[in-house]
Amino acid sequence: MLDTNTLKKDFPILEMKVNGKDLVYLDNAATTQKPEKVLAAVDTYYRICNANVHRGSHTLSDNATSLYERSRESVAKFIGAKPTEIIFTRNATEGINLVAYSYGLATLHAGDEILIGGWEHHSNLVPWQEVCRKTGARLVYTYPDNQGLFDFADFCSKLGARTKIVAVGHASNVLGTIYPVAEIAAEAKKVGALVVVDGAQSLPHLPVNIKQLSCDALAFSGHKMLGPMGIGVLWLDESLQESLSPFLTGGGMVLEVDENKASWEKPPHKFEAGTPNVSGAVGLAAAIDYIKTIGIEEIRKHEIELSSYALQAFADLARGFQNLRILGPMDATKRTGLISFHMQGVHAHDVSAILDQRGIAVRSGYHCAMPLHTHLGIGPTVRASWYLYNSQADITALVSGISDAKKILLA
Amino acid sequence: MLDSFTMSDQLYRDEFMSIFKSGANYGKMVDPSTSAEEVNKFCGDKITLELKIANDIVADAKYTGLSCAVSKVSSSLVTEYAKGKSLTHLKGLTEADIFAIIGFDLTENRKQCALVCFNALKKALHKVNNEYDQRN
Repeated sequence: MLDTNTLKKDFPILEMKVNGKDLVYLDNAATTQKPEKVLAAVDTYYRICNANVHRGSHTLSDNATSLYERSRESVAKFIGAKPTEIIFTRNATEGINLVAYSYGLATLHAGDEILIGGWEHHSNLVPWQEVCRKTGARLVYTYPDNQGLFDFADFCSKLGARTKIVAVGHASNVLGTIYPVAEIAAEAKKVGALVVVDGAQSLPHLPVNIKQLSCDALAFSGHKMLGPMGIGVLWLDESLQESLSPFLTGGGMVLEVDENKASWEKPPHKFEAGTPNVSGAVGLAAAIDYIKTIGIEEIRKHEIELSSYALQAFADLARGFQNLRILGPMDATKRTGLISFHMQGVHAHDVSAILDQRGIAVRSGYHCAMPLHTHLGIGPTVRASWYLYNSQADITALVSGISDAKKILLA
Repeated sequence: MLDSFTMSDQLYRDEFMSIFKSGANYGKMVDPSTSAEEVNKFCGDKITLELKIANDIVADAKYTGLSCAVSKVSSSLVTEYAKGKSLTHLKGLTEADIFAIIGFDLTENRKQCALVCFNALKKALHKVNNEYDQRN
């Protein structure tokens, strides 16, 4: 296990008291807290480096450009990609929208199909619904099996000549399940479909290398991996970058403009219209440095140990409470560091409010995955999600809080 | 710098829980005069409000649907309040009035849960108005 007592000291917010109690932050799948190094990188950028990038011929602009481009290199290295393949966006959602609009809208026709996971976050679902609405293409779902694992047979039965895009989340933000993107991509390639991966829930928690994933596009968010909000990444395979038209146009992405038309910069710049979020990119690079110092493999190990501990504690709790349903696989190695659960007769918001009174921050609701909840036949769920700074004591506090909630709400 | 929040939410206490458990006015109505559905913007939960109206007075009010304790308790209190009140009076209610009627200390997010029934009530009253306008 990681030394969480020491690690927690790197995160100023974790020193806080909430409702008079020590903060137990278990909402990492929504957003993670930021270490001092990330806060300092953003602060320093604005204090001594701030200028607009790429266009200025003065020293500050030059420095800002170098920092921005170095951040791009840092992200590229983290996922085994080339810097030119890294497009900075606001978040994973924007990255997926870019592919949906630039590729989906431009290439799909009536009768075509987009095959997506039944576990998708709305970010990797609603953009495709829009593409379908505008092109006449059809959205086809492959749902996980009853353990929440990938249903390979179902996926293959739905994949065919009509499938033009396969869009899947690498890890579910509700079930926690890690999906076999490389196998999915291998099958999808057989029918010539483009493979788009939502990596928002995997990049912070697992070693990810785009060469091993064999997908065409991978989107993720900085704020879920210790970086600032408002910075995201779309990795787009080189071969696609030239052929795709930009999603957003304007300043910063053009070569020449006359009264009637414009020509585009080389990728990735042609996909980054307007002044970019330079401090965000710098903060994300600092977050990646921090993750590297600890080691993504070590983080993964730590999360597996915490998940095993939590799954056992939840199983013990469920023995005395038949109405507690734990979602997703019971094998910690098959999931990321989160558990969502449903308590029959008890509303998720009430559980999270009672946990909040104990200083425990969790998320309740549909977690931007309403079709999955409908498929599972359940209402809102409570989700607790951990990261490198969480300890077994945090999980113990959570389980004890859930016991209290049960006593209060079902007494 | 804030290093601590005060405990504002001492919600799940006796009075609140007894209203929650009583489930007052929860259920379907036979032959309602009007009804309206409302989604909680905070989470996507949905409730249906039914009203029985006689001589521009709410004779009965009931609600159904999936909702949290805050939404349920608020719905029980708002439907109870609505009974015997004139449509004109109910149309004049503001969110502040509703929070006063509910009387519990709510966090910003949970205020959405408390307003679901009120929003359904506004919709239902609007519907009644439109129907009245169409008839005349």
